[in-house]
Amino acid sequence: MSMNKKAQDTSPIFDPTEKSIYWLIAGVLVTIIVAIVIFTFSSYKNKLTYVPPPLPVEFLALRFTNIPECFAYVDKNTGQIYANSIDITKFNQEVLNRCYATEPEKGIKTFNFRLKLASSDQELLTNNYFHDDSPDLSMEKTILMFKDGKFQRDTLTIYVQEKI
Amino acid sequence: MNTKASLKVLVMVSEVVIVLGIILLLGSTAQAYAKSETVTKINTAEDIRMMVHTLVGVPGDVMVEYPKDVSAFNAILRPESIAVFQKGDLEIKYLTRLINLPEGYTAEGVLEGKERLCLEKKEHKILLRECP
Repeated sequence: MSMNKKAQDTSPIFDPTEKSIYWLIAGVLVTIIVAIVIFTFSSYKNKLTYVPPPLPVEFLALRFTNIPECFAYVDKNTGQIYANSIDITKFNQEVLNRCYATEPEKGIKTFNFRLKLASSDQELLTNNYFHDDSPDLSMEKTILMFKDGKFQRDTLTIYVQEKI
Repeated sequence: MNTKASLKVLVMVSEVVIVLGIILLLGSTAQAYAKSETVTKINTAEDIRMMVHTLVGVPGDVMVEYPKDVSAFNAILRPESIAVFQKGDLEIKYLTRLINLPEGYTAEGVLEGKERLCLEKKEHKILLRECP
């Protein structure tokens, strides 16, 4: 009977010290597993909500050649707006700053642009553009440039900086 | 002896509590994602943002309808952002996306629990409202 009692007292299964060590290791493992599960869910959510960057870039860039507040040519007599056109007299930094400007501090986290006409050496940059181009997002548009009272075909190259 | 017995019970109870806590945490996380309301909110806000930018880039006056039922959500359009949320959500849970308007443009509008969402561009104003 005393030997049984001794065996019970030294039984390893219920030893609190061993339990503590067990839970120390188990706690770390469980934390890692929970983190992996949450990361998996989060990745899945990001996959479901992913928008390929060329899409929003295309929509943002529409304004450059289609609205009079940017570079589109407007017939002074009729008021007609010529879509997909650039009035060379408006192709300057001041107009670009009014057409598309990003926040001074956080603007590097969104799209910025560099515009270049093939027929001209002039380059226009949006306010947070720092030549960190995303080559996949650059686009070329064939446009009608209004210069010296007539339209002529030209190419507008839009370089895109996604975020820094 | 009594102390050892009570210690054993305490350890067993704490083990059960910890395991139940982990099950609860994982279960609630899985349920949140399974409901997919967050995903729908994000997609709706992104879609409306792209619609606003497209309207800005189109000459003249335009009206366009969002092709999904948005009755489960509310939306607020401001000159600098679009916010999509559910009724009862705290502001911290609003899904917000920034928009970029040219100088002289403004954007406004609120839609609460309506099925059809329309964006209208009139001169330099983008308006979010229920479709006529």
